[in-house]
Amino acid sequence: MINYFKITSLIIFSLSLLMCATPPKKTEEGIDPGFCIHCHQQVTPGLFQSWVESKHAKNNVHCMSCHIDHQAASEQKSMVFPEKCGECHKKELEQFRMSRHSIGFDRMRIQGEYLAIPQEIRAAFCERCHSIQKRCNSCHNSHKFSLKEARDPDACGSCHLGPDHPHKEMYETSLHGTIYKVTQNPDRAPRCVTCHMPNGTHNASYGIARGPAGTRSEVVDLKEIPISKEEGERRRREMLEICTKCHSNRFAQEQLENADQVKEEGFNLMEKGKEPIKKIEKEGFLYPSVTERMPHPTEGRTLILADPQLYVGTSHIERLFFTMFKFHNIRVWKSSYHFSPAYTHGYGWVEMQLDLIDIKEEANKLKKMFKEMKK
Amino acid sequence: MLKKMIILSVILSFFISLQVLAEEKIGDCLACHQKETRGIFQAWVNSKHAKNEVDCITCHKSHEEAKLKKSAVKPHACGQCHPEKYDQFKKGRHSISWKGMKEHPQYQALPDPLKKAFCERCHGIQNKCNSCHTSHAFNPEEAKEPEACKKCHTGLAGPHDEMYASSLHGTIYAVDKNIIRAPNCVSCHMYKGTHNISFGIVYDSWGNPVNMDGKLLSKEEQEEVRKEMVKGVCFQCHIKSLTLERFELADTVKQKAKALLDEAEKVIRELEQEGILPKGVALGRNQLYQDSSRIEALYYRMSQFQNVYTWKGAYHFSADFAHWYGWAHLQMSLIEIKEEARKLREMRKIKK
Repeated sequence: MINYFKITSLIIFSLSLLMCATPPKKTEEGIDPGFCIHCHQQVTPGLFQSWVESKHAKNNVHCMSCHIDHQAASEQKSMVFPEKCGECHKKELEQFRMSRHSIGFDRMRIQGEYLAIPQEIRAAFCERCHSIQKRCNSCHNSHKFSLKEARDPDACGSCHLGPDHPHKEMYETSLHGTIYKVTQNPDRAPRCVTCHMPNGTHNASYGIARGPAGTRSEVVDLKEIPISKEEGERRRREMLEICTKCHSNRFAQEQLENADQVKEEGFNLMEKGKEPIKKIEKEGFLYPSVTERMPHPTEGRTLILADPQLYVGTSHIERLFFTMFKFHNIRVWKSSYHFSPAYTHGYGWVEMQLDLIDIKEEANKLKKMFKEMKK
Repeated sequence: MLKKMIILSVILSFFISLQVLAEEKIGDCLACHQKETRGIFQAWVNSKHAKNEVDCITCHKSHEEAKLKKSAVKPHACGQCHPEKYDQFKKGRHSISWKGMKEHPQYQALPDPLKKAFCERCHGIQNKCNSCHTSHAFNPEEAKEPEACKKCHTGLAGPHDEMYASSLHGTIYAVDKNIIRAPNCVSCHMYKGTHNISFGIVYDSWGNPVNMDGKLLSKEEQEEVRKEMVKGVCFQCHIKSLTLERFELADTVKQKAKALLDEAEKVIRELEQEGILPKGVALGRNQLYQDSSRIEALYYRMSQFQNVYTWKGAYHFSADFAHWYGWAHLQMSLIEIKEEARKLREMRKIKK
């Protein structure tokens, strides 16, 4: 009896070894999907199950339709780039290429802050989000690629949150986010994609007439060239088309123009924070001084306040300014466009004012303490 | 016979046309607005208002008026049909929020566009039932959810939502969504649907035991107010002794936090006496968060944020807010204030 069992299991084992060793069966279209599924429904059951439930599975889009062949997929990262998805989803790829999502990785790679981060840990920080340039599955999660998931605010929230750009938090504390949270009905109140991806466009920069983050009022296109006034107005009109599904044109325009003014005020306040630091630098009280520290990866040995300022290796007073511009000013203006008083005022403007007090006081102390010591 | 028929049909068509004319008034709005602002149209169609023939003109009076200026409908207009709710609303602090905002020096110090985007967005509740009953569905089910309150009661200055969410009450409700199982905001603060939002609350937002006109409440009056909430709400789940104990504990927390504030104030007032700071700087309620010395700004954080987290966190039974965001930060700010005072004194010596 025991012998029988041993023999049978030996046969099964050698058969399965044989199956793994056999080269994949070729079909007219390429590799037989059964070949992948055979192992992967056991080895990666989660991934297999989500594919089974996907629209892809129903439409006969299987492993090899996207991953080309098993060799390529197993030896290196089996990433499928947007170009591949675009073979079937042509319109979406074209729209995606018009958006800032499509330059996310390239822009990251020339940022000073990125270059100042040790190479080994960049993947855990910046690249996790900025890789959206190369990954449709940033939003359309593998391997279900469910539209319902991608349209949920939480899909955007995995990147668009936190100290430097709390879009998710701003939205959730606005009336828009409140109503959506309660009703889960996008006809009743907008969610992220209602305004930023209307009619399913994959141009996530649709209707955005200000920005990108860090810049004042000038709007640049994907090649970083400032857009014309007419183009800016056209984009604003694009967005107003969304607003007027519920609001009167007068009201909506008034709200967005109010946000424009808030943005200006935020940047004006930020300029006030620069002044004392520039003076201190001239008088030579910065520690470490600009010459004593690691040069800025892209700008060299010079004092940089606001974009592309680093949060590493600067003096205390510059650190105070970093918080002011990178976290607090961005909250002021972005939250005013997202209609969150808690973020634009409390977490934004109030913090900026308190930052300014700290900066002035630090400048004052540095001046008094070191001037006297020099004498 | 034919004559009779003609006369009858003329009379009939007259009545029909009368009705059509009357309906055209609503039709006037709908003809355009179901296309131009179809979101609000759809919300209204599904509302109880629509079912009860409360249409655009019932609230907005005339198209001309609505078009020319802001077509906001004020609470007294809603009160014509909802008189009981309106009366209750008038008794609560929501109904004086705009007035309170206007009087505050911080509001007055802000540039106009900022006033709109910051303060007025929430304090507008004095003039807007649709702060909670959002247009144009006016659905009570929406207004009863904690999210409806969160829109304003969140963030740096008043994280009520965060306190509630981190309490056991909020935790159970988030998981279970069952109001019998654990209370949400309205269970305690709008007991039995009252629109008097100050129901059972002894203190104003600054922590002073006063009534709506700012008159100090006696010990007995304070107990009367608290009893309303404790008896009506807490006793539904908790025994009397435990409930009273919890409130007394929160009272003690509030007093202890106030003592820390007083200690910090003393440090600053001493600097005033020594001529290091100008005399009579505003601390606490009328203090601004801008253009002050660093030591005043440290006090601002204590009084406007950390102290609030401590005592309001205690009454909302959030250990995290009462202790870590509140008490612990109060203590750390006190250290910083003392250190800053020392530095200011030392610096004056250098100057001399």
